[in-house]
Amino acid sequence: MKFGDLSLAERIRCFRRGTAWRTGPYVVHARVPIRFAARHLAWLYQDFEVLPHEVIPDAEISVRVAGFAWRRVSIFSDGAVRYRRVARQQLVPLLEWTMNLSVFHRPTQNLLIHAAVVEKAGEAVLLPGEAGSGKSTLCAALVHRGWRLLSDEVAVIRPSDGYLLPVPRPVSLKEGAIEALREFAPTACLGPVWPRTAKGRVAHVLPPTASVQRMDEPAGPAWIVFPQFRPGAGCQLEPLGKADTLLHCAGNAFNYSVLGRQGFKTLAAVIDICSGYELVFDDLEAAVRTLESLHGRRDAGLAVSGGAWS
Amino acid sequence: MSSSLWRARKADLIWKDWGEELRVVYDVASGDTHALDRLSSEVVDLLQEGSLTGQQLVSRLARGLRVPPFDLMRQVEDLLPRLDRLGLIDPVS
Repeated sequence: MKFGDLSLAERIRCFRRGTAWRTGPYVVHARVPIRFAARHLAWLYQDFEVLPHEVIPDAEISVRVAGFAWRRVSIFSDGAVRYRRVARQQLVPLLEWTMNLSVFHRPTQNLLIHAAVVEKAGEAVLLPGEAGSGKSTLCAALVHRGWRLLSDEVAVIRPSDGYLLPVPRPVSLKEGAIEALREFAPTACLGPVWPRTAKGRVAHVLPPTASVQRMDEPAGPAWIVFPQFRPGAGCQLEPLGKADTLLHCAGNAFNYSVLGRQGFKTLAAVIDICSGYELVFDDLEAAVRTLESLHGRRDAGLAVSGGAWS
Repeated sequence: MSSSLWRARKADLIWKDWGEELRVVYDVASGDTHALDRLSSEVVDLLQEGSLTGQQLVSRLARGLRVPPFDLMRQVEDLLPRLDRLGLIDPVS
């Protein structure tokens, strides 16, 4: 049963009392006893299956309120306080960040790269980049052109075969990206804009139902594109050498150094089968068109089955 | 050119070569990853086989790359301390 199958009141009650759901390989449990935040999470996770209480979560998030004042609200993850004195407009964005941190900072054999990931026709594009690079905006735009959302935040690479494991979660947009997506995709399901967070204005895009339904279908990496939003720069896609692609990916990885030799071998094998590019853009429509054109340029024989894992 | 003897600091390096200008080397001991140009990677390769002076390196590289030794002397002289700083080679005391 999905959260969306429940009545609104039941959904909100779930999140207020504590509930669990799965996103890709991770089980998250959240307890948010504040009505408006519980309601928002119930909306964001409407397509996710409600898990039974006995399931052991990988990440446990909770909001605790001491007294009635807003300054007494704290966010905990795995029993440790993450944020104290959380202001009302910061609660939902901080909950989402806490979930990201709790889920993606766990020890794992998978290689984790700070990147958005989308897929079409079995071929995935990784969009690694720091905050402000435009990766989330580009990811949200591609998703509204029929690409499947695997992740807005972290590429999870399985070392045994190089496949990308989907971790579909709400896409977090900041500042001007909110209006840019509204203009690009007027029908996009965007939640309320949370003003004055630590990262400015933030809004979340609902993960598409189809992407959530296909969260157990990994995808083969085909391209690694480093986006860089730069006003006035036009739209330019430049090929990147394999060595530079590897170094840039390593620089954007969360656990590359922790995995050591295995991390290098996994990343090098992914680079074997991917084409690397740098994309400078100032217009979402042009950037999406450019990335869509990559499908036509794909070299034969670069499919995952022909790569280092075959 | 100095007659100091140089050696590769570590034997446990993993190389990745895509036939491009840059080769990638992963240093298992330090966990560092470096992109090296052809000349740099040839130098580290040769020093992994055994200790050599700068002059011996130049002469071997010149044979392998089929370029006059004189063209390589300055480059190798600049390169050795840089590779030392990356922790890939060091002078034999």
